[in-house]
Amino acid sequence: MSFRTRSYLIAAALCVIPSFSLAQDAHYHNAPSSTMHQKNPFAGQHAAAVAGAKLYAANCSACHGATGQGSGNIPSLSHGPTQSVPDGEVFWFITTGSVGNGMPAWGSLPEEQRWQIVTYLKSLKNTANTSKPGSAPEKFTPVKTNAPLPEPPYTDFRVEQPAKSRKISAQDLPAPYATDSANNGPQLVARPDDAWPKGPDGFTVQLYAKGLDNPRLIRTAPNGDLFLAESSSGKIKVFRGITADGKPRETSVFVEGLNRPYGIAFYPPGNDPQWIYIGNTDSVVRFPYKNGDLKATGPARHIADLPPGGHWTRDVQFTADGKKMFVAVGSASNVDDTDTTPEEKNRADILQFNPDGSEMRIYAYGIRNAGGGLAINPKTGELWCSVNERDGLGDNLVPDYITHVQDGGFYGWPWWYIGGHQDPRHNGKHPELKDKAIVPDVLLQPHNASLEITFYEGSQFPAEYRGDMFASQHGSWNRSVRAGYEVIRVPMHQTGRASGEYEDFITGFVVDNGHVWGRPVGITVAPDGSLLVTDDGSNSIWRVSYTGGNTQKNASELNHAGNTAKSASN
Amino acid sequence: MPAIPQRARPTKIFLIGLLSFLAVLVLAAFQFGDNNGLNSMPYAQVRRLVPDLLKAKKMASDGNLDLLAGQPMRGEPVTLRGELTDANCFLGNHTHAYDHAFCAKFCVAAGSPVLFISDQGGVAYVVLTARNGVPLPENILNLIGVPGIAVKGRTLDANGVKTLAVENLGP
Repeated sequence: MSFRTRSYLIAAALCVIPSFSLAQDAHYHNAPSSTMHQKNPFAGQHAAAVAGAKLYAANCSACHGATGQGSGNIPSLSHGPTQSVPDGEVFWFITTGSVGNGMPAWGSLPEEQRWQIVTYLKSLKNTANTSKPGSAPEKFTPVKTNAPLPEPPYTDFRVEQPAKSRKISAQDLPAPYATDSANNGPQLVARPDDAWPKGPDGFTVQLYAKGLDNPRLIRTAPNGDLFLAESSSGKIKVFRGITADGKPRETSVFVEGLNRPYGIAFYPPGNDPQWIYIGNTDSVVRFPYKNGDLKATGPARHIADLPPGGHWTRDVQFTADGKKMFVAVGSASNVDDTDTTPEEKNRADILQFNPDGSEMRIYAYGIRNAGGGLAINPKTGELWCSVNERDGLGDNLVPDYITHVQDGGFYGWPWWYIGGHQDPRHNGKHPELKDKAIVPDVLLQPHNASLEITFYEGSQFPAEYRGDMFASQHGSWNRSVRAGYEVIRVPMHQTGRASGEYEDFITGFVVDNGHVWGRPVGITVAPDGSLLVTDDGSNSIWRVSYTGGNTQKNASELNHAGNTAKSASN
Repeated sequence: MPAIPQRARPTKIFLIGLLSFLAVLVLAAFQFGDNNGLNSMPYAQVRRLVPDLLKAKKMASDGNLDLLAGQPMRGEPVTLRGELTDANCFLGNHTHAYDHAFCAKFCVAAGSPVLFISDQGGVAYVVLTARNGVPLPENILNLIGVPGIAVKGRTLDANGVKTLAVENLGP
């Protein structure tokens, strides 16, 4: 190749590389490429940011939070794509919105005001939830409750305590409507300086990763890499390794552009996977994968369509022999009658497929929403699920639950709950199903919003933990005094069977009855045996390690001076 | 050109004149009833008057118009349990309750009528305000999308349309 030809090729490559990277950036809500060159007339101007802050407070903060931190499905604006894309694209998205995804179009606001909002948003870069040492936490008015303390077996955030054992049985349930249906969603705030997750004696909690964008389900690959679904931004991220101070050694975006991904499963089961399956909200897709891949090496292959919307999380698991795939699809509604509501077809079920997506059948039904968590018990090979039960019947109804799943089993929704308790909204319907409705294995606090579950097969925790289950509880809204916002342990007594009780394990995410700073979602066991918990309240991942009795010392040793981590001992 | 019959022309002219006179009278009657042009007031201007019922009533009185604002709705008193939601989403997509409160409030704020879906049989009621021209209180609007709330009000079956005038929260 002549020098001249080589020069042309290098020049051409240099032209292609930037244009490719620009194309990558143009993915922000599919903004037209022309918008990225649109200049913000107020860029960097303090007065415009102040004006934008007022507009933001009036129009945007109700969803995106007072500091742009986001919550649940609502994306953070203080970090993530909003901070990395050009102002023009943010302006375009504010103007056009995405009504189908809950973002209104704000084209009715004068153009100047929309730019002021953009200016304000850009001034937020990485300000929320970073909890820098010495930084002043945001001001908010504490919300106190005068409600009496809960009567066991019920609980709430005021009495949650690591290692405290609890057990709810079907005989404990109150009558429907014993209390009003509450509207007590949490307001997210930055973590106060004196707040930190706490575990039982001997356990230490460290901050593994922060500044994430809506971290949800996390799953450990056979080679120990940690796969995280950042659902609202459509990404799957990979974290590799743990440094001496407890941080990831390497981070990579495995794939992006997905539709609210949540479930992650490696196939075939075992140590040599060939595919990674992703549960989007409307489909299951798979990508070629082999141990060590940090990026998808091929395009998505469509496996199965799923009903979109409603309860949107779709966890995916395979049977231990790899012959069948389970996908949990939650209901579209709170408690609509499936007989008369076509939107509920193939929902509130756990579906079973062949791994290629063929031969779909309903494996178990009447399960309002198990999309947040499926797991295979390594000891018994049974499928387990974590279920969000219905709302609107009062504070202490209906318990969420964790249970092993029986093939063909009926778990009550929408006509019955927790065995033969009829939902008053469906009085007289389906009497033939009363005796078929299964009482789940472990009843949790009502409205806890139980999400991902994992069996502990690590060797770091004391031996009695081996084979137990851990579950993230995202936290209540339909309860007058909030409950959940914790990680729980479900003892399996070395038998693979639950006996109905559970323990509070990691608590401390609630500030008061109006404010929370953290919300556990995903949970997995890291290769070193520590437990990793994703938190879409503070957009972080927490690492729970067993360090023996001298927790204070170990915590400070593990976290270098100046690090934000604190002791987790209680 | 054919000749016009001598007797037809005055009759036709008379009829046209009479109709024109009547039309002017009708228009004038409307005009005279609304001395201040209130009926042609833009919606946005009327909306601004809603929080000030006394002022609106005075303006209507000055304009020779009736304003029924403040008049209570009739109907059978009831306490019902169910969910307030918006008509667009519920009737268009059967979407309500779970994860839908923000969407429903947004639609209602944009003008979609409020519906009440009863827990008993899923009966849908068009929500009316307890008094004409008096908005639903904020504490009730805050509960749009929350399942299992109890409300007190009055029901009416008007030409096959079930309505519920919501007075306050129950029980």
